[in-house]
Amino acid sequence: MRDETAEGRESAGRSPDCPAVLADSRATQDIILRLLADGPLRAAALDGDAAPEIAVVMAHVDAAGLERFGRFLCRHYYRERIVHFFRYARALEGVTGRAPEAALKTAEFKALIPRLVLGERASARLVLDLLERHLTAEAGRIRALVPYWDDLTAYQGALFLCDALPPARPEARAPAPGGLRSPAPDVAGSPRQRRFPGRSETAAIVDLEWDLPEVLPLLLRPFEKPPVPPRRPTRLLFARSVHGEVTALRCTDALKRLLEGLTGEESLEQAAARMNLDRASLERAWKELERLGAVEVRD
Amino acid sequence: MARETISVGAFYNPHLGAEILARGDLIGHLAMADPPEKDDPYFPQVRERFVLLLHDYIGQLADPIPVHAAERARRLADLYRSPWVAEHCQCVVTQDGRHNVDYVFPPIYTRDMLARYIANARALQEAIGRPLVLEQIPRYFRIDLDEMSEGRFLRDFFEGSGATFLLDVAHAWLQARYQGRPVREYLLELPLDQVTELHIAGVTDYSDLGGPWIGPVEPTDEMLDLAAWAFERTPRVRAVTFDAFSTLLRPGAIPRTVERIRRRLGL
Repeated sequence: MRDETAEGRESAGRSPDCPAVLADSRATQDIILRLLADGPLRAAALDGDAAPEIAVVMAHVDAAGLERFGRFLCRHYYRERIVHFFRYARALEGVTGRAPEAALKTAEFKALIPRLVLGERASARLVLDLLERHLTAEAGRIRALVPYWDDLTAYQGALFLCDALPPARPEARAPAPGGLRSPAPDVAGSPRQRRFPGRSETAAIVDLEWDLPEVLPLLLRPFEKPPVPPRRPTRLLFARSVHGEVTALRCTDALKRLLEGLTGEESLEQAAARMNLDRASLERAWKELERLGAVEVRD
Repeated sequence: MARETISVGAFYNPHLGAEILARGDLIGHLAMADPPEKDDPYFPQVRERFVLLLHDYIGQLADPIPVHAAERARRLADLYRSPWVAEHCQCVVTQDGRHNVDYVFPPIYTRDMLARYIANARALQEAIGRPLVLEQIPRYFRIDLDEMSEGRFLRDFFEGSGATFLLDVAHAWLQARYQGRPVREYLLELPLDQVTELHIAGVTDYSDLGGPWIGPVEPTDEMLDLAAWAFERTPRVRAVTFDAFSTLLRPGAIPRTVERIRRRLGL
């Protein structure tokens, strides 16, 4: 039984023979965070089917409480993102009768929770599929009132998906506490011009029928009838910066060609020569696109 | 400091900007959870009229704060002219950056975690050039991996880092509830003498948790009574803030709650 006296609380938990995994409390904290963020890992751990270092930590936590809090965090995580990225659909709720966040209260979402890993792209895709069904199924009446409804759903969905993490990279070495963490330097012996720019895996180009950027700010202001944008082909680029900021911007034909031309398999000089572009101009464009997260460098 | 100089305020909720500006007589300061939106029509006036407190996510003190995050915090603190900056006693992102629960969650209270928090808090304060206040975070489920109590961890942290305490009364209420302890007994274990700012909020029930948790709702009278009890034991407190930041917050909630806080605390 847990010792609830003040003295007991001071010494609770660790014993002199505690397993090695518990000796590094920052690493132990990481295991707890993974158990909370990773539904399949948590399900396996609750079934007693996890790696030994996870089982050691599980032996020190209230498993039922962990499961409840993991579910709570999952719902909260996606709600925050839906409220943010689907804010235009939320602004139209009075017209459409469909609150996007209501998808999180469905039995379908509840059933998804054990499969979801917070931040993971494949999980975001599963939640987005649910959201799209929730917003666009039997939506004839909505489309009559908001003719760009499908484009708006695609736009918000692209933001939502772009926010998810790119596939895993090799782990960076953790810095020592007590300073500030500097950005990763260029790889030694690999000056910038010898590294290969390529389109980021989180970047996406979406073609729309309606010029949504014209109407988006108006949707966040009071309106009697939903404002309608011009109907003309519109192409947008969605990108996620290394700091997690998601941006949508107009994508010209030239920008699309440039992004498609940056394969990550040739140097800047080679790419400039092949695309018949001035090297300095290409480098300027590359830097801006890298800042936005649309382009990344590969060694 | 004389008790009459204590400021009573709330979080800045942009969708309630007009109402907040209209009740400048009642609201002494605003905590800023997000940077102002470029097209926020109220922020320029809000910035002129109120003391603003930086209460954004800066970074978790379990790890060194990234340079860009410290620089962002410094810029925001300058914009707000914030007398101090706040962070939470939390550890929510794994060291490899792959997992982030994106919600407040406390660290395990160990000696090596404490050393990390102290070292990183010192570096952060130096980088930002402003004092830090740290808000305690409740733990919903039992974890038997602590080497010290939360109160000891916080006291040693404040002594080692020079930071002071942002005591959240609702968090304390929740922590005590989920530990099955009397809340006043729990509060007396915390370093109340180090409190610079007090947060008061409500709690709401969540089906996933089968009980109450942090929510953007008004505090009950019971919570206000608890806040008043804690307030009497925090001799260095300088600000009391209604802690609710959400688009779910309806007009009227902020002035009503600030008024109730003023009345109950005699401010």
